Amino acid sequence: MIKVLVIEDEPRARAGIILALKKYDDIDVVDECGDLFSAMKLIRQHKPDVIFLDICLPGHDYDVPMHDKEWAPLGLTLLDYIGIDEYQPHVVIVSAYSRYALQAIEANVLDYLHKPVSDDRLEKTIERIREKGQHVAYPDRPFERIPVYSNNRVRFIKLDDIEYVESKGAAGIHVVCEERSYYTELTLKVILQKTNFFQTHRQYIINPNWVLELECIEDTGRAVVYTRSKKEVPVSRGFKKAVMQKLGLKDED
Amino acid sequence: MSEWNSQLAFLIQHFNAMEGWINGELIYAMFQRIGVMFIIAFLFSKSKAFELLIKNSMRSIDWLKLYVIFTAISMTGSILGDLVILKDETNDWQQVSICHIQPAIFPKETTLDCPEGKVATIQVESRAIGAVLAGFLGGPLLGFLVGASAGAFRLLMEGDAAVAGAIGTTLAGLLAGLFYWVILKMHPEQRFNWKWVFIITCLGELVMKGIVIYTNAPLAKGIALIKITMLPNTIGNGLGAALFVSILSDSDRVGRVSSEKAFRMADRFARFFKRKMPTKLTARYIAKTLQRETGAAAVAMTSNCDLLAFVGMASNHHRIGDEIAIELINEVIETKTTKYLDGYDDHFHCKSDSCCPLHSALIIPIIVTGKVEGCILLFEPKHVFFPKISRELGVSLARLLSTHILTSRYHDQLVETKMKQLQTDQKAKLIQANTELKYQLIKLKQTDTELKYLYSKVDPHFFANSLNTISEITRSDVKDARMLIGLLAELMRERVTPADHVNTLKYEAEFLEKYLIIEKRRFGDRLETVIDIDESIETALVPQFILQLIVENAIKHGISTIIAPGVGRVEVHAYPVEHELMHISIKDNAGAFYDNENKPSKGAGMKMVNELIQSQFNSNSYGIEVECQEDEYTLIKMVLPIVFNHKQQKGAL
Repeated sequence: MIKVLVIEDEPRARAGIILALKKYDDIDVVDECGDLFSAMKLIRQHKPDVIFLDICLPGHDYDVPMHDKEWAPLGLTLLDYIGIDEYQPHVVIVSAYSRYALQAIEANVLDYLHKPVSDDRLEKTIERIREKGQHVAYPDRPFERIPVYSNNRVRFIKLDDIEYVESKGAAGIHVVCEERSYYTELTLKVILQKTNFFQTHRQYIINPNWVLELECIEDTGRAVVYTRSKKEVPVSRGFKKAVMQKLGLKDED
Repeated sequence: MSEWNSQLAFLIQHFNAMEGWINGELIYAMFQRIGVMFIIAFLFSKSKAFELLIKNSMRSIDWLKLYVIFTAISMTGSILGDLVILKDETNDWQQVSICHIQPAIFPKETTLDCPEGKVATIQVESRAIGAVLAGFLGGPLLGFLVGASAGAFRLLMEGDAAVAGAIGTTLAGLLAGLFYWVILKMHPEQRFNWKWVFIITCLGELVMKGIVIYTNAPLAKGIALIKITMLPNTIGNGLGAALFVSILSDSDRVGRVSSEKAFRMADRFARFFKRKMPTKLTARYIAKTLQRETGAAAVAMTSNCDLLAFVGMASNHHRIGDEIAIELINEVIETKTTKYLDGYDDHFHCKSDSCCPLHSALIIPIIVTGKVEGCILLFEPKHVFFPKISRELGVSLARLLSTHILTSRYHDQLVETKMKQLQTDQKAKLIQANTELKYQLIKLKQTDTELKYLYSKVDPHFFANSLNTISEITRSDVKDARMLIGLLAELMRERVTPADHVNTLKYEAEFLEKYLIIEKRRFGDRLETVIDIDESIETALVPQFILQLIVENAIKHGISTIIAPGVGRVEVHAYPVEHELMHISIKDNAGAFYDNENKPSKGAGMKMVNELIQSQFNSNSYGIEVECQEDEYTLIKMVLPIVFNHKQQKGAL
């Protein structure tokens, strides 16, 4: 069975694609969603073999201009955040527009379907999926920005603006900036992999550019890192040595 | 029958003999009461309550005020009256003498050496005035209520004629009220005619006397009772009421007209009078303001032949561009003086509707350099007399308008002379100016073409997306898909062929709803909309697509960025505000309208709407405003004039 995740923001269009896919016995539509965050979450959860991805998800990537006064749709941006954890699904782009085809090919997508999708064309795509058993390797690029959730919208925070990232357990991962913090779907592990941030605590990773000073707490073996905006980030015993090394400090013990 | 005959003979005998009918003391008291009535009337005419009488629309609180005022007048009449104690000299009430007269309100315990049944008391008072005036000025119901209340008060005071007085006052009030109806129908201008009031009051008093006779048996006693009070009550009350009304009708309110008011208005109008008579739209604004300030029932403004604006009463059959009172206006143009039709002797006759309620009119010429350029007309309906305030204000305004036109013309002449100088001095510069003008013209044409292009431009995204959505829907629900294709075709047709550049707000709202049906198929639960158009402006004209373009913009740039569990919400509210304007506000909860450079462009929609408004209404006071709180909301506010008539609209162009 080929596990498929359908990412499409228009409910009727999504239902149409799923209906078309259900005709194939070896295709198993494991889930569906309509926005970037749900997509990131469901990909992590189901690890689908193929994702059917609509390029125009809600919101725009304002940091990436396409051409004159147009911004990249979020579907393309999603590709930057799925090639992680040594797991990479095939991507079938579904779009009403052909102008994103070039970027899509650069991102190593499996196929590019034009809306409305005819049954014959879909047949070819399924053939292609069956042929390509293994997952393709997406270019492993470091993150430049972290997608966060803000007022029911997707925003991208530049790494330079992030002081540290905190895992709040059930409340999820929070990216802390000078003014406020944001929720993100990325895991600490992924962020560590793709950035120069380092871990100070099981629940904290910090941006070295924001570190102001480190204060050791007597007799406990723990420490506290102060950021440039005077925020405290705890350093646990286990990570203290590594942290001091990263900061170019000598352990007094 | 023989009994009736004898009684009739008895009556005639009594009426022949005048002795006993005139009592000097009571007549003197009567004049005193008239004096009091004069003071009350004077105070009343100075008070705010007086305005209630000339008000066109009465609220229940106004009626209550009038009721209280007139009841108070009526009761004052009772209190100020005199109590006359009569003594029966003979046994059959043939010979009666006055044995005591005292103030009605403080009856002294007088011991009379007379047996019971030999004494009768009657009041000489002016209670009826209040009731009659209430009926006469406020209608039968008010007259009846005031009469009944005053009558009830009368019952509390003693006297043989108490019951009769109570019933009589009520009837008098009712009678006056009925007369009010009749007179409003037949001769509305007679409403403040003191002669009628006098007659009605006298009639009311006579009715009361009749009831006194009826309730006081035997007949001789009744006669004796009314005999003494006949003259002072009837004539006194009649004169009192007549005096009251004549003071009211003469009350001169010009003192209240402050030149400040006129100047304030003229200042407001100034911008409309740059060099010529106002356009139809501005004329309408002026007329509206005039109507509000003068309180006239209707105000019109005309050029030398056509009606430019007509607001207020009966505006439904006075159409813009029609001729109105052409003879009158011609007369005014010839004489160059203000003409006043008081509605009493001279009537305004409406040509287009014989049932036109407007009867009196004030026609004021707008004279510029000795030539009449147009007229301002103030109207009042049949039953409302023309307050002098409106007349004065109207005349002074026309004068001010004339001055405005004159000064701006003078200014123009000045400019022209300077231009000529420039011409002779620097021909080259003129040529340059000419070129510039040509360039401007070309640009203007460009704008026009652009506008046409914008109209016909179909947002390709919307078109493609909708078709894709519909295409997917065909897999599951062919019927729905067919309906959507029909809708889409309708939307496209509207867009590609703009038959007219304006539509009613209602039509635009329906167009918007059709568009939203399709958008909701695409967005599903993520889109919520509210459309709220105030009923009173449903038929007002607005530029085509004005609602849909902005909502489309809000969805495209705002709502489409919202992800679950957020729900995009677009609210459209249209409501009238003061000064004949309306607000259309379109608010979304996305807050994605940014002005700075690295943010999304606002797209063609906004530009289009701005151009639409600017091309439809040539004024700075109308337009579009944007308020945006990032990630919270975007509020697009449009201020437009309320225009209902298509003709008016054309005039504004």
